[in-house]
Amino acid sequence: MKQITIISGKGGTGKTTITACLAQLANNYVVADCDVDAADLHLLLNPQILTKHDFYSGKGYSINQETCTKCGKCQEICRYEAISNEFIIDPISCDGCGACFHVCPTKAVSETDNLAGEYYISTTKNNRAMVHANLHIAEDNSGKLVAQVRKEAKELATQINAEYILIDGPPGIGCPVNAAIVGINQAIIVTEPTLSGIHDLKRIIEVTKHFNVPAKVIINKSDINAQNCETIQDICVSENTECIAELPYDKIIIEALIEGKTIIETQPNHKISVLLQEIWENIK
Amino acid sequence: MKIAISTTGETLASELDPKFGRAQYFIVYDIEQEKISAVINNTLNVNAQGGAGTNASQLIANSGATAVISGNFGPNAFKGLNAFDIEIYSSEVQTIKEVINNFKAGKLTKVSSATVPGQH
Amino acid sequence: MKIAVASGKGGTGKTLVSTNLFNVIENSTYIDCDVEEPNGHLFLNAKPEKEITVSTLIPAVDTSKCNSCGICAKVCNFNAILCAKNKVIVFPELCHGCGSCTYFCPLNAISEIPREIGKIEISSFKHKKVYTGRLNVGEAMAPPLIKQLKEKNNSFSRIIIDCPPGTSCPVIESIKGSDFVILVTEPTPFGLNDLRLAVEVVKKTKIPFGIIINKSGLGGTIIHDYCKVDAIPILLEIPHDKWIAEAYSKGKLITEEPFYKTMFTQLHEKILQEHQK
Repeated sequence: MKQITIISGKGGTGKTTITACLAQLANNYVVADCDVDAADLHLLLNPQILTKHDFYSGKGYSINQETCTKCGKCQEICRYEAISNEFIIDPISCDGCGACFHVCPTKAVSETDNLAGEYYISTTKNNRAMVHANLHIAEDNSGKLVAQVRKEAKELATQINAEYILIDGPPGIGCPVNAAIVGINQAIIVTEPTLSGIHDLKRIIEVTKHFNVPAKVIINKSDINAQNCETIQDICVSENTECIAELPYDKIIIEALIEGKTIIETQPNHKISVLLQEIWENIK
Repeated sequence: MKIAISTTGETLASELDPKFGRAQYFIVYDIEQEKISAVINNTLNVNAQGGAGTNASQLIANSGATAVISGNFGPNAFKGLNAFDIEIYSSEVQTIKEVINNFKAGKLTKVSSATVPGQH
Repeated sequence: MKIAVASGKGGTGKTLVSTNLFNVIENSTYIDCDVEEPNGHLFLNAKPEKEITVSTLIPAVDTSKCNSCGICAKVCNFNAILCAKNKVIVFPELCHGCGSCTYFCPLNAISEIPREIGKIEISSFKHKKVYTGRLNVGEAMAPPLIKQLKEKNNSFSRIIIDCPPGTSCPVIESIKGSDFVILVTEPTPFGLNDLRLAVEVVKKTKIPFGIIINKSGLGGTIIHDYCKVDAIPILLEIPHDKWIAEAYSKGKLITEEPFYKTMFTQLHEKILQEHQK
């Protein structure tokens, strides 16, 4: 089983669109949306949800107004200014440290497992298994949810004897990205020829090296700036990372997106579709 | 001596879980008495906000095990297990019975540093 | 007036909007709170002046006082402190700096010491100040850095805050305390989906907000339709212009051109009006 994660460093380079295209070119795979903060892959793969599961992370706290004596000890100890003068805990500011729970002399603070999101097992419009998730607002443990999504995807892939797991990764270089690439067989970095794209490309290559994951680079919207494309090619050479394709910008990609489709569906013989086909042959 | 092995199940026929901190269970096996002395349910740790490796180290120390076998160990797990003077061994994924036999035969590799980077 | 520029989705033009808005507002200060990937400085090409190290507090155990009672490990929700037979081990990168271990130690054996998590770079651009937060690679504690970055600027009156993408804690920390929030989106189904999430976040903070449609004309009226239904003001539409993409790719400010300078000056006026409402 080969696990392939599509990442980018900078957001908005076309990661999800490319993942969806690959999902239409591949056979015998499970697809996982690991951009749990702002999941978008479902907009192109149109999954029918089969099962929904709660995702818990950390602890949540609340104050029982009946037993609270308003002594103020919890307010004093809380470093996140999460407890109001009415002794109500603001879940958005609360970091879940539990200091209030331990300090309360009347045991008026109660502790519960914190429901941080949901994840789903679904079937895509191409009739493939898909695992995706939704992290609630102001939750900061997306790395763990990413790990959970990958675990479910792997179990499914083992059950159906799938050849590939295609993973749409999160943007950035933080903990969720680590969770999306640890132990995979191939990382595909989608970048764009802008200064920010180049800046973030260097940082994300560093991350893949740290995790010992082989990486290949795709330059998306390559016709925006030829000189920056050259700079990216040079970086790839010096970093010993293969740049496998340059995809030009074309309005038909957006037009397909607006219909909830990919270019592979709307124009399978277009030159970009052909390039995508070559990309898949290269990485599969 | 007692050894702790990360597993996906609760019996000797279960397989080793290659993840240490976020393993489903730990089987604590008594080498002299040749039987399972305890099964630690680690699923709570799967809900830990972070530091699964450090917490699992504590659970294993509490069980009285003096050696632990898993697939990969992150930096925090490594540091935690060391603090409790627990010996660390790495093994391929196979059944717990096979893992124990390999351990007795001295076939497992002792781990002297973290095998994977931290994952939070 | 503090204006925060945010977006649910990455790559919609947050930095484009914030740097150009900063460029047209006199006596303003720019704060880059996208501490994982601070990119504003690439466009401003600001002159470095000063660098400040940012730390959080972690516990330090005085072994001569400690009796390994284990209370510190018990009260720590982040598994950042372990208590073995004769020693206590601290895991600095897991520590959230909540102070529970120090507070609850019955023997006062724990004190708090600083640990570096990142840096604040102060630079100047056209006699205006630029503050950039930069989290150290591999570091997970963005909110404390953002908090300190904003505290450094509390006394200034005109502030532009470039927020990180997404809907998690760092975004909320960045938005907190602003007078107005701009959400930048693009007219695609991805843009709309992520805009909905961002709107949900801003509504929780109860700060007034408006929307900028970047690459307008790209994909029909889906954002307009959404804003109409939810009565959200559209502050500006930035045309889908290949010239902008090219200028951006070279790290150029579009407000150096008179046409866009006027556009962003009007944007600022519109924000002031919306804020008065």
